[in-house]
Amino acid sequence: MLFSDSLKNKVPQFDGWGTLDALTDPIIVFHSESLILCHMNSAAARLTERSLIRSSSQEFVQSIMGLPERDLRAHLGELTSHESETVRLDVGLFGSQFDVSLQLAKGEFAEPVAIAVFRDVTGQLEADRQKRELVSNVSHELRSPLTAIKGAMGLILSGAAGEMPAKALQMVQICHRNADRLILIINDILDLDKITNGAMMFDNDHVQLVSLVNDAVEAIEGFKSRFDVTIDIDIVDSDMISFVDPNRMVQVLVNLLSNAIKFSSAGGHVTIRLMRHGDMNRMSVIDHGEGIATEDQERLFGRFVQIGAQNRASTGSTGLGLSIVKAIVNNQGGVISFKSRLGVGTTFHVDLPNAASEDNCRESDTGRLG
Amino acid sequence: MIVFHVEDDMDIREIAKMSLEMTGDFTVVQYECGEAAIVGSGNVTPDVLLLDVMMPGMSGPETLSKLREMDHLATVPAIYMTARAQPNEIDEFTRTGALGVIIKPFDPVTLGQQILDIVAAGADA
Repeated sequence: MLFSDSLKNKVPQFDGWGTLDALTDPIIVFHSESLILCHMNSAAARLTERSLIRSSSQEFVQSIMGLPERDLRAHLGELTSHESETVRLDVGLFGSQFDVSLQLAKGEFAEPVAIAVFRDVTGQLEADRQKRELVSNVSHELRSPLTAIKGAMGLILSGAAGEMPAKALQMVQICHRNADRLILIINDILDLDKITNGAMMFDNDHVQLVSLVNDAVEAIEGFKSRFDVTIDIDIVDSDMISFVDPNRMVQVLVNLLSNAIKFSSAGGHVTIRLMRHGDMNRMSVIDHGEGIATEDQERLFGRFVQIGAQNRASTGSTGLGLSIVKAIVNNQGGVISFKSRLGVGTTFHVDLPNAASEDNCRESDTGRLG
Repeated sequence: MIVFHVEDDMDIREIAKMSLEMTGDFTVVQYECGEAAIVGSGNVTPDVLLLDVMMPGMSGPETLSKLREMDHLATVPAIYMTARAQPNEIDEFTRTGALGVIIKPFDPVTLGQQILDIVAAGADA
């Protein structure tokens, strides 16, 4: 016997141990109450052969699960109370990364038994890392030529290269607009990459939401003029303050406003409203456009989602914006929601915690309100 | 205003030079890398140093550090130009002695004003 604690009389009757041995994923079976090991299949034995002799089987179970006893029991408690069917854990073992699926065995065993299946995801994680690195590097590399392209066209449009025939000027405007679109796509990809890696930085401060609204409306001015849409600012509560990253929140509002503008008819109106909503500070963007079909609403915050009849080229949309918006709002402790009716329009609400009622405000970060 | 501009991308150098000189407010002296800037900066004292961050060989911050060792460039206002602009990265750039950061792609029409604004804000600080 490899372990100091005897398994005699503790191994449940089960005809399937041999079947488990045939599987390539390491599997361990243990009493969910005593944590004593009942069985490990051949793959688990091969994986752990160097570490077996030194510990009791309870210690071995905790060690291979990568958890102290208290945390392991907490996870088992989730399963026993039916809070979860399965607990997923990321475990590092002997230089490899495993996705561990922990479940309670049902039916076959008289004893309370837990089963942990270890899937080696080292290769997959490395492939994911390389893919993200490639996307990030390519995106960064694209910015230099785009800086030159957009800069050159900007100079032509400013008249720095002299007078141009009207038709040629129109062509350059199209190029310039599409260079902007490419930059938008690259920025979205890089933002999504940062969010996926948990690398997006937030520089939170106490911010008057009125100033965010004004900054966002100013930032969208050029875009708005292309669509002949008017933005109405409706400040119901002017004194709302939240502890957020102002640049990221302006990014959120600009995204929502640009969507609202794109889906409005020429001559239409978009409203941006500030109003308290219970304990939260609510910023709403309201359009009277075509609305979002019910079947599209569920996938609205997904990646590369395009809604409505207008195509990407005509709207300048990447299909990434709303997933980024949601990630930013959630990171800031807020909630984004919407309601929409076909033919009537769409309203997006961004609810942010009121800084006055927050616990996590930094006393020293009041400079922005100066 | 004399600008020392260090940038490895030839096209971006051209755009920046045209953008700044068309305003009539700037004279732009350009270098294709940090090493060239160190050798070529001579005794002329510019009003501002404009540095790309990611360059082959010496990076923008490494270049600035070397330029600062020269007496006539020790206190000249410096600005980085970069496509990488997370808040922590901007903080890091400013800690290396730059007054500010201009994000690429930049607007050629307002580039000069951006430089003037950053220098003015630095003078007020």
